Amino acid sequence: MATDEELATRVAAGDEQALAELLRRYERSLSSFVYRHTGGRDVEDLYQETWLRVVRHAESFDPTRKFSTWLFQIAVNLCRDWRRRPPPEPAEPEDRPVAADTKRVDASIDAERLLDELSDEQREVVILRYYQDLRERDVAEILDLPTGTVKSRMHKALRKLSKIVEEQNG
Amino acid sequence: MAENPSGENAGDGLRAMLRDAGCSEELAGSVAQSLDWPVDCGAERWAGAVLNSAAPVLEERARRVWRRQMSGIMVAAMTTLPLWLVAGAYTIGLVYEALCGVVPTAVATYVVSTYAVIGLGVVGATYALIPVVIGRSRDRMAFARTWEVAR
Repeated sequence: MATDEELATRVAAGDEQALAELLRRYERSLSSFVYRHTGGRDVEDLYQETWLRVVRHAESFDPTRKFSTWLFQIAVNLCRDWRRRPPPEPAEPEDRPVAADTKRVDASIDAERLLDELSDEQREVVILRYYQDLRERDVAEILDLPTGTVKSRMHKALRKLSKIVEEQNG
Repeated sequence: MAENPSGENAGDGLRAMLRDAGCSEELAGSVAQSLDWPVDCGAERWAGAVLNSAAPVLEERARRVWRRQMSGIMVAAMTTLPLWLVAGAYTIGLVYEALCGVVPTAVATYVVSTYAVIGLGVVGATYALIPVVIGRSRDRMAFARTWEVAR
């Protein structure tokens, strides 16, 4: 079975099947990352733009690096650009994920509100480290930070979150 | 509900991280529960749109790779062409001399010129087939990759 890096090299040579396979492998993790980063707004656009950038820049991809790190680096940059844009008109996110029961919707709103209390830098670290379950050194590479900074941001973020939850629980 | 890049559940390491951050077991449980955020955007629906948008770039790139392969092979083939021609002419000269000793000159000329025409035809056809062979091997490689990916 071809590795992600081999598939990325094939994409650089114009192989559509390799791109389809990468899409399949990362559809869930990338879309949920973008969703959590933007709170469910413009997910489809950002998801597609991430892949188009992958295709456009595939020739500059270094196969000795991890493809997942490179992919999430592109996604992080796009999400950061998205956050810098003027805020959209107040409306419910169009593509809130399917949550059949009210409990699940409540849970997602709780988590979203909770993460909104964090700074952008802290939120990125929590999403990548916790929700995407990436290793600290991968998160550090994606965010172009020293591993120590990732650790301290994660630590501060968790302290903040636990403080908020503690206050909420009374 | 952590996920690794392949989209599989990776187990909850958050409680341990929270304990490291100085939280009690009970608080760690509450935070972990509050952060539980299952997301399923149905991204499989978007793959077609991505592939459609990427198709022109991929086609152009595949064409460029093919042209690069073609030019490399053609350069190698053209470099050796004079060698083949010289070797062919030398052989024809030898055959002509040998034939002149046993048959009339007119017959020797006819035989040798026929041989030369056939030889040139074969060399020409071989060179003309190079792009066809490269194109077919590219298609076979694409099929093999599709097969491997499908597995």
